Amino acid sequence: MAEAEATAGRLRLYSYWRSSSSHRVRIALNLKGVEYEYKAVNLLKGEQSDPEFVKLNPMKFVPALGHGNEVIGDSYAIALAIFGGQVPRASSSASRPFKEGFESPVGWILSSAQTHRIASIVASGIQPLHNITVLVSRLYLTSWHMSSAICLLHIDSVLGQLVFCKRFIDQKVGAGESVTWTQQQIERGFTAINVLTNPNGLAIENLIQLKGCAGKYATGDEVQLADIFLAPQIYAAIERTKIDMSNYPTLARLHSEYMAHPAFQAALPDKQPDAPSSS
Amino acid sequence: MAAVKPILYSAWISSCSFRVRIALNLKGVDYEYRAVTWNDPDYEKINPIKYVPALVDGDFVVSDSLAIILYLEEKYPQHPLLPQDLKKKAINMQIANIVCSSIQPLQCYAVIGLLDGKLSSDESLQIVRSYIDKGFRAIEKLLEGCDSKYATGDEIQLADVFLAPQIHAGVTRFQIDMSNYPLLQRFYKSYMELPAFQVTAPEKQPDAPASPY
Repeated sequence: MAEAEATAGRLRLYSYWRSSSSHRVRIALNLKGVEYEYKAVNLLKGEQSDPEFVKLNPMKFVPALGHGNEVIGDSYAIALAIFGGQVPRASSSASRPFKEGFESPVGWILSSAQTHRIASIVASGIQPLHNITVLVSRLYLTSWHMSSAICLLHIDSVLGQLVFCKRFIDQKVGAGESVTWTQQQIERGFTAINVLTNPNGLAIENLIQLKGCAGKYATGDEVQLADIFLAPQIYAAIERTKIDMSNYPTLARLHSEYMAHPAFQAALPDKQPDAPSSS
Repeated sequence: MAAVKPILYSAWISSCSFRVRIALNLKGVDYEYRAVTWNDPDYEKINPIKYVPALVDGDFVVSDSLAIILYLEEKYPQHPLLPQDLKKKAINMQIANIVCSSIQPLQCYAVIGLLDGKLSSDESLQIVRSYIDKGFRAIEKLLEGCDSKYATGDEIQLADVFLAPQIHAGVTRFQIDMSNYPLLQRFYKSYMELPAFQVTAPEKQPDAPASPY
């Protein structure tokens, strides 16, 4: 009975190992130092359309965070709930390696408009455009070649769909044009952000009043919301679209900081329970 | 020393700009309207990502409608847009984000696809309508059984500020049949009775053309 109660009180994170929006929430939960139960939702198998999951999140997206009967969807809303005091710190005595000796300055997470601005650019201006649902639904709905280009980048070759996509693109577009409109969108967002955080960038002159612009992380020397949103986006861009990070030295530097941080390391896609084991 | 009025860089038709105009009006903040046209080279200096809206407050610039509105929420506590109740606050954020991440950007790229000549007008419209439909249906489910005047209560909150411009765009530009979304239809009717939503509507902006739609 006590065990059932303990389980009922635990947070449940509905996540897909590779989803960058799920990745954000995993980082946030790790920074907050809470235990959670990982509930895998396999997007490639279409588990987000299972009636049980649709009840939890009618948008059929991961991540979603459940506590008892309450469920919150959308990574931005979840992040604010986590740092706005809704998620209680875990009282469990079990500790994970990354929590030992780690102090998370959570009070700083939300403090600046600049951090929201960067988080929002990632959440609205970049990630939705290379979201798997965009490309999968497009294959069925229209013959629009851009979506196929996104598909080419996105689906694992091991599924054999790369071949399908490539044929589709070549047919519709001609091999030359299979650009990566996604890549253009990502680059457009990255350029803006890099200008914002690069001390030599033009836009920084307007932002010079803000404290910590040239700090260790995106908006200061402490991890903030912008970092929680940037880290998965940069990681996905490097791993999946082979973007040339030498064009974005500030973001490349941030990436190496994130990769050295325990809360971010534990949240990486290939560390998740539903990540496929390497062949 | 007299405070300088904030400057809002906006485009009449931009639903993201519409959101911020509503928030400024609800909070009674007087602002200077600066119209931004498509591909305006000077605007890039204000906002490197070239999206509207952007708010210049003294020597501070903040862009992205959600970030701007959260900034306004802190700076101008009158007419708060986020409730104290944590669950209601989360629902407001979720609905706002469905609109600003899962509907509008995808609608936007279909519109741009049309402008760039990559999509026919039929294809573009079909894509837009499918994303609006998906988002609206999800929001109807999230708010099932809602009997308050607006989305999360009897006061205008963040969700309403994001919903109104999206519904307005759906109705005026994309032939959305709102009878499919009874809650949203009801809210929209209530929104458009309020001055803060009327004066900020796209067709009322200084840069709106004589025949907007």
